[in-house]
Amino acid sequence: MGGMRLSPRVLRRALRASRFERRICCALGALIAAGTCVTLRLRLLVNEYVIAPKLGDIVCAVLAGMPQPPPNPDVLTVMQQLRIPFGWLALMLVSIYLVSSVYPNNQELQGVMVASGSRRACWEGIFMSVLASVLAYWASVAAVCLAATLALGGELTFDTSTWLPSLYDFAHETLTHGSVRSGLPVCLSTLAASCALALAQCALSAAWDNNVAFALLAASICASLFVMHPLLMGNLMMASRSAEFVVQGPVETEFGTYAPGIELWVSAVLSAIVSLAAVIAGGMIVSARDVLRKDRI
Amino acid sequence: MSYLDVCQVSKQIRNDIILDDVSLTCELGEVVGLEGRNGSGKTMLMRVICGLVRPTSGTVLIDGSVLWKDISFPPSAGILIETPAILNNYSGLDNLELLAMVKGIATPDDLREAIRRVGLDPDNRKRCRTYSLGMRQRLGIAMALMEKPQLLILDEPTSGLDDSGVVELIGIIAQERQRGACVLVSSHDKEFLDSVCDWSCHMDAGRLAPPAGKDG
Repeated sequence: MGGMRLSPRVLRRALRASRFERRICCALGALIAAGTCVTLRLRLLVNEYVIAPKLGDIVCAVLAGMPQPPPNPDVLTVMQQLRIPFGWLALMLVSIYLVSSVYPNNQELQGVMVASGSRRACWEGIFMSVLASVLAYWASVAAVCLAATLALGGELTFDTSTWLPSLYDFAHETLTHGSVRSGLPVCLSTLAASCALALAQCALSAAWDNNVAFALLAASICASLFVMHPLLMGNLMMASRSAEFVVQGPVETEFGTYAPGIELWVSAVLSAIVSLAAVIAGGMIVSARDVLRKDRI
Repeated sequence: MSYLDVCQVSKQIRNDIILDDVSLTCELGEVVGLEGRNGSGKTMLMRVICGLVRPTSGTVLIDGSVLWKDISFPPSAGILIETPAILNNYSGLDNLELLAMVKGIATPDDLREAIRRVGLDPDNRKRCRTYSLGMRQRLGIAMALMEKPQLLILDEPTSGLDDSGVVELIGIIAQERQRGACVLVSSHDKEFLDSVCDWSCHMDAGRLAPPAGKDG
């Protein structure tokens, strides 16, 4: 009922209304990525590598995350050092902050709903604006990776160098022994999972509240550092947990049995399911929306 | 048939009856007032009429179409309920432009005119975060007016306005009546309602008392 006509207008309005926040978040994402590139350069210097990192190396360094934890920590024979990947964590937290900034607050949402005259158009416009913002965010991160590759004289290829895993503390025992690894699956997984998480955050915001949705997503991202499970979608965005780098079966090590790496198809299927469920559930919530579920009188 | 027809609307939240069998009609070119104490149900009734709250029972008809059935929201409505939704990082005119983008029917001149009507300067590029309470209220009224709606709903529009603002608002409501809008105004200020409304109702504990002044 007018949805197809109105949602592009709601989309344009939402994109324009959130442009300050989007610019700030994109700038922050670019800054964090630049910081990670500088860290990579310093690590190369410290380890006396004279090779220029390729685009794939830089992308995987930015999305390194942390080594996969063993499923049973009780069998640890040596305590592992906990190194929080602050760069990765900051990138993920900024991306979910971006979503909570783009999603309209309760008063704003009421105004847009009444003006659009259609709950469906309103929801379509909002989730599309959130998706566009998330894509812009990752584009700004990608632009920095590209600029850093060019600045360091590296090749513009997604193939990664053999030195990368050791430089970023990936769990050595579990590394694949293939000759060529690619950063492309990591990029695609990150993009798909990030979009799925953004849509899930929108649906949670519609169901409860922007702040609750932000807190839930932030908690899930933080938990994914310590628990390796594809359903904690932060895992899908870590290069160190991708099957591109980590073998696909469980591996016995001195630290216990490590979980297998997550394959691209698992990321794709999970991201698609979460995205679809979030779009449908969010649409149903907004369609039946009664503001009293939000505002207590 | 009236342009706005509220038929035996009730709203119950858990055990609290917020609206109790409320019926109300309003024609185009008519200004109806809702007067009552805080918590009497004025805002809730307005939210029901806007389509923001689903009534427990009863129906709301806008120009013959049933809310929550034929239409989701009134097709041509300007609304000010409680605090206006203002984006603090933008100027007053930007805020109007952003909201007008959704429907795309208000021209740039309409937006500037709406801001002028409420006593603000459309060329003031200051961000709204610097606006006083009264200026925010004026901007909220401008947002409600800008698309020349057929249904104008103003909940406590004098809140935060100074004396000159109230006088300007009385003039604006008179102009809207003349334009042919169906205007519903709520206030706890009976004197204000008497000066702008064709007739007004008293609300108490979710019930509407018989209208006063409808025939006079």
